[in-house]
Amino acid sequence: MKHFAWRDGVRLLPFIVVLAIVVIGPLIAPFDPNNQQIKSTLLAPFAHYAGSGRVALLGTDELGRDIFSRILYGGQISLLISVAAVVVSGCIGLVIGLISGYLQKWPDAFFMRLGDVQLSIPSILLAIVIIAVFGSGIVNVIAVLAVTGWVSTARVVRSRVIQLKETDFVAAAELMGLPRRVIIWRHILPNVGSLFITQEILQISRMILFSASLSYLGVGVSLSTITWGGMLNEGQNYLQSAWWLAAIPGLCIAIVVIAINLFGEWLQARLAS
Amino acid sequence: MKKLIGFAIAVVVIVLAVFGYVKHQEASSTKVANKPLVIARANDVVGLDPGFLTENAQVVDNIFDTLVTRDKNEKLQPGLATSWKQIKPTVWRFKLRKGVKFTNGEKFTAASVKFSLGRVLNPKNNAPTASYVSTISKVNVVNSHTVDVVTKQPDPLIPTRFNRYPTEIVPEKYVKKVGEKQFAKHPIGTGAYEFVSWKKGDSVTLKANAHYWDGTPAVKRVVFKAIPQTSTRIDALNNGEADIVTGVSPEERKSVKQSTTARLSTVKRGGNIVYVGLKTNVKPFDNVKVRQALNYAINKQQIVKYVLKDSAVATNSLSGPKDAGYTGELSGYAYDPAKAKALLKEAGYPNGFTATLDTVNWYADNTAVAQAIAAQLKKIGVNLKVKNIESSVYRASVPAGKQSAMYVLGWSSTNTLDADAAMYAVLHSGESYSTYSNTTVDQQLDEARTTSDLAKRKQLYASVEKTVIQDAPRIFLYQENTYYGVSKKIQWRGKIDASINVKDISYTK
Repeated sequence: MKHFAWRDGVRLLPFIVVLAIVVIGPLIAPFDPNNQQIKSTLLAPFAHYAGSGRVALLGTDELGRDIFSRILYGGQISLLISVAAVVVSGCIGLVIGLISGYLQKWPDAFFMRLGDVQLSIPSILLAIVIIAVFGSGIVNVIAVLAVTGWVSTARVVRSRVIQLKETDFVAAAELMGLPRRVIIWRHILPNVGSLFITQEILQISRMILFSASLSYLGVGVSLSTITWGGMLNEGQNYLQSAWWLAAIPGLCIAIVVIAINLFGEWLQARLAS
Repeated sequence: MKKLIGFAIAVVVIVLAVFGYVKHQEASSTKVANKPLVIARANDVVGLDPGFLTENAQVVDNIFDTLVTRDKNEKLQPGLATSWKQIKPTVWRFKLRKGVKFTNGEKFTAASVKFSLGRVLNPKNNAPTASYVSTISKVNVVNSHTVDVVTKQPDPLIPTRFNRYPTEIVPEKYVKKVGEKQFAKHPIGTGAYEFVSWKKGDSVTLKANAHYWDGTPAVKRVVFKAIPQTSTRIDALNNGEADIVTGVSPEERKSVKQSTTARLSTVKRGGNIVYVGLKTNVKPFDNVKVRQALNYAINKQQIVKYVLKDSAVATNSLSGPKDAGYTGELSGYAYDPAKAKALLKEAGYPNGFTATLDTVNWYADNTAVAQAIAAQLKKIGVNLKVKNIESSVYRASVPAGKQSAMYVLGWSSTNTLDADAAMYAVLHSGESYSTYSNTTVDQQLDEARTTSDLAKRKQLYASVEKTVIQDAPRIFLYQENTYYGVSKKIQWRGKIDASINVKDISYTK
């Protein structure tokens, strides 16, 4: 029992810490993330600002903006974009998965082939094309992420629904002549729930990486919006002279993704038992 | 079992030793000169037809010759023409070099010159740099090796115009046979280098022209390689993969300076004059007071010192110090946010306004500079949305006038080292890179083009500069220095006209 608790802690703690930092981030940020201290550009971590003598915990970037503060602000936006995208893509995937799995026949064939077609196109390419046509911006980026993310959810949900259809209680409900929507809503959906939640949690980390890639490629949100991917993009030119510009946001992305994946594992184990 | 293991180890050791020896032999027997010289630049070429370039002529200059070239001190000297003379106010006569052949065997004659210019001047072809030669009305063939260049008005700059693009001489028969599109993919010229291959988006390979009229160059093979990342370019230089890298960013100067295998070559004010162009027919930039306010709100000295780390020189000048027609540094807008606010109020924007600023990675630290500008303008209530536009998109959208109302652009006189080239295309109304229209400026630019007397021309340009500063069709910023990383294995230094003539490169003994 003790052993089990230790493992729980390892899986849960990073996620809780990350979540806490991201939520209260802007409150504990020592500086305005957009404030350019033009005389203190490219300060190394723990160096002091030219004017005030205050410490730049994680250094400053090419415009003298405090990287620590930018990380805290940027984390919120990066996570917000990813969570919003997962909510949208999750809903689309859930509905399509339920319909495909329960009705089967032509709706199933149609949606699953559509998914196959979409998966055959590299999602980053699809995203770049969509953004090139409709323009960049937070809403568009969320839409793009959602469009590229629904397939995996739909597939997972569909296969679970097909399993459930074979169970006795669904067969009984059908025999009693309950309408389809009631069966789906009352009997199938609650049993898909736990699987769906874990799937979506893991999707969040994928979305974080994907939105960071978009910002990194410069097709995501505009420069004035702080995102970790965007910071990585701007920092890459300074790899030789000021490594912390790119290394810190890169590290943050990695840590958050690992934390979320660990949390997903914990949730999976928890819901399965 | 033990024996087997021992045997296996012995085999591995022998194999490794043999391979290592062979490898070592290869490395030491390959002479430096057999390895191609690699020039790493940020972007690959878009096309290789010198008449229709939308970029600088660094690559094509090696494949083609011009009638006139420049010596080490930028003085004009004979190229494909052996001599030239203004025989009438509007006629320049060029005597051409005899016995020169294109690399496909086609002969270089007066007809080649007429053809090369004709296709650029033909308005149907819509050549992007036609403005550089738009003073020419036609080229007349006098005899097989003499041409007369007839200008619309007297043009003192004809010899300089025949120094760089778009006046490279192309082979008439070949171009007509394969068509312009194919020619841009597989060019043939009379130059010191012959085209070998072009991997689109990656590299252009050239080999030395064994029959070059000015002697065979020392470098036998050269690769112009596209490496978009500055830091990757520097890595390539430091580990010997590249011999020359262009566009060394201000941040990387130190790393090149400290390198044991390479050195830094600096060309002061050798780059573009970078400015924020304003679409003067779009609200609120149609109001001169708004444009002046923007200029007062920008502290360009600070941007140059802290963001660019002195890799550029703040200036209001429209041409560089090495350009003929340069009139010195003019005082313009001292940093004065209070005055900027007052001007905005007078113009009817007491609370400022919102606008979009387009920038592109053609200029060093472009996103940092754009965001510094945004931060400074915010202090007078102007909120900018900064958009970093992808290079190929920008290249198409700016000449088509599809960029945002505020856009970063850099211009210089690289092709002629004359103020005309630095100013005409970006200030004369109707030019594709110009978003400004002023009849006085138009008329003075036109007049300076046709005036032979340098003193008179300087007066005209001084007057243009004065009007433009007053009228502020742009936010005046700075002129970039250019930095090259050069391998210590070769002798070469950066040039003010941004050309890289591979034939001038020699190996260090």
